[in-house]
Amino acid sequence: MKNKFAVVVTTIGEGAFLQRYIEQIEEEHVSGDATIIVIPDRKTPSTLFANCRSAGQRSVRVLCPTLEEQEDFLGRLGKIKDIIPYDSDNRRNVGYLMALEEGCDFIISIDDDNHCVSGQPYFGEHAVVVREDMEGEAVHCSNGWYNICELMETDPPGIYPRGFPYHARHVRQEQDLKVERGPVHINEGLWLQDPDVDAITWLACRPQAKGFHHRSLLLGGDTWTAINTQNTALARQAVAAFYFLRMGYPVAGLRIDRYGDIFAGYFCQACARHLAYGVRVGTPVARHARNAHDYLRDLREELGCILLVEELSEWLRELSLQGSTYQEAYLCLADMIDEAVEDFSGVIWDQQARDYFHLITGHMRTWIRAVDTIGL
Amino acid sequence: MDCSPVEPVHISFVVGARNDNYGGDLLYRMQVFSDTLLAQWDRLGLNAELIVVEWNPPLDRRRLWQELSWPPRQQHGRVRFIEVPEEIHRRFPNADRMPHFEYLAKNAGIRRADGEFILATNPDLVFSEELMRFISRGGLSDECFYRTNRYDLACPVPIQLSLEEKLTFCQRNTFRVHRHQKTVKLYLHRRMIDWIKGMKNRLMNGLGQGPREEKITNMDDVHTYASGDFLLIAKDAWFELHGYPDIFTHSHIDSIMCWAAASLPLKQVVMNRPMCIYHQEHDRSAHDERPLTEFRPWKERVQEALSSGNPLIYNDEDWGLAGEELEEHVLIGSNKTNENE
Repeated sequence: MKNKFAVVVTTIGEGAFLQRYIEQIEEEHVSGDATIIVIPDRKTPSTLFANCRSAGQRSVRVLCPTLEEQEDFLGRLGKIKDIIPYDSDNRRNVGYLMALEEGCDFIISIDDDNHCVSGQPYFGEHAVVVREDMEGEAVHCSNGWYNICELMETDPPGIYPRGFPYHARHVRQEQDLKVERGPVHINEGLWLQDPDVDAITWLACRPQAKGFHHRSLLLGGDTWTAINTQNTALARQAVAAFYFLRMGYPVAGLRIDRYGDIFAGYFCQACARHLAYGVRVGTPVARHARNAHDYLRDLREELGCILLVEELSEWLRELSLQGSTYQEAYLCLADMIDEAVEDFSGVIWDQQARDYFHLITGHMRTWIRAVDTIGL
Repeated sequence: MDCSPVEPVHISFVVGARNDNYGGDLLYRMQVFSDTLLAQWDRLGLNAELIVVEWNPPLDRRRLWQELSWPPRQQHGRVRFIEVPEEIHRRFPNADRMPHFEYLAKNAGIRRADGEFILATNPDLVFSEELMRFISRGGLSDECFYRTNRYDLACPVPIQLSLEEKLTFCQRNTFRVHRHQKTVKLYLHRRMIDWIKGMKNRLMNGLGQGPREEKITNMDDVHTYASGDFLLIAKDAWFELHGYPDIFTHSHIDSIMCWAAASLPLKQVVMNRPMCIYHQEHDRSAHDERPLTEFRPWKERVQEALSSGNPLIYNDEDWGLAGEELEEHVLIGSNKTNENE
């Protein structure tokens, strides 16, 4: 592998995850290409910096910018500093931009409670996003939605990933597999142990991912899925369309949160598909040892997002974007969202929901200006 | 960067609080308050200080200064936390029924404030941009006390918004206003009227015709509604008045203080929209168990003070826990406390 990459993670912990990733980088002999970018926040303990320093003394470059360094960095990129709040998982946007500035060819976005599994390639699998071309089985679903949890052995079976539209769940559908070729720009790795499902699913059945069917799939051009930031790789260009949405806004009386990555995943898919770049799901599989959660609280924050996804996801699937680059496609998407949200009519679409997306489209444009300042 | 106030502090913002989750989501509301206020100081270049008096802090919880987050790089102003321990709290009547004496806490802060002007306020507010501009531009008079209207917000302010976005959000999500002598629900037509009045005031302010100074002769002319949230007076006048009357019950103390200011006599300046404060709503059921201030005797005292011309001064020279040495943590500004303490 001769491509520079960055593992991007935010944390308010002490960096216990670092050790395993560094070991894996050494196992795969990609130390020279790798940078781990750890983004601390206001509540991050000072011990993280020491742990990053000592981890960086091994073969792998570890960046852990202080808050002041983050401010300085963002300050050079226009107004982006104003839209990336503290005390928020949204700060992973800082890491994405730093990875671009570092000249990385691809990024791997992880959560600090995800751990790569030894004995199998992790970075090598994610590097699929920088191959010029790849051949693989592509799944085409008759209803346009593929449940990536089908690639795992789960207990109970029949669960869906967080962000997967409810209208597309438990629907009888035909699946067609075809061998296809093409470049892939988004690779979503799966998760053993604690799957990334929504709070409704956690409350209902506390699922576990017990095994993986050792099979990765391309998503057919007509087939979508929910993409998160737990174990996902993106080609450098695709980062332009992967702004992690800022949450925390009240929508129809519900304060929304926890879906910044899901919306980012859908928007990025829309742009990648428009530009004829593929989406792959499956390997590498990480072990997700989930931090403690208050699921009722999570549910309260996710519910508004779940309702927003219901309408937005189908609208995205039917969308026809313009532009020959990710930046152009993303700006086009922002314009189209501004128009579309005025017409959405589901229960969640009150004035606050429309206000929220108008804010977000402004952020998308600010994001592109920051990306352009760095340059792709 | 050292943001020590080399110039005199223009305004001290003084609040009282304790980490007891008063009203629910206290830390969230305080974070919105402090994030917004400090960002406004930097935007306006305001040399100010925030004094948070942690009154009778719960022993089983971290202090507020440990719970809240602070900007990594504050250019202007300083933040001080002053602690009044349980031993002092226990000395006062009703200490077992009232865990927090809000106005005793404010007095302790006012007594120790360095500002030329002191704003007694609460840590769940957002100040409108126009209000902050007005009070920061140096035209305040030490012969006046300043009041404003409080707009209540229909939903929590999203903490992740930028300063600009938070202020816009507040403007767009009010449902009730506490004006002089009346509290009004902002139904659509009232919202429109309120907006038009705001535009007119903005125009007048732009023409240099800001809020007028009003000499008070009748206690009904004093804007007392929600005055616990905003009372801005020159430091000298606060000291002349010996702060809020030390009353160990709940309610009306803020109104009495406004009347006391009028009796000094200070002229009243009421700042109307777009100069206003926004209040993040919360539960108030904790008040039900607190002993209520008996208002009638105070009303008589106020009337007598206003008609006789003798200022209403209740406390003695030791007001504001003057003789007590209170622990202080400086979070931002000169003499900053080590975060690892």
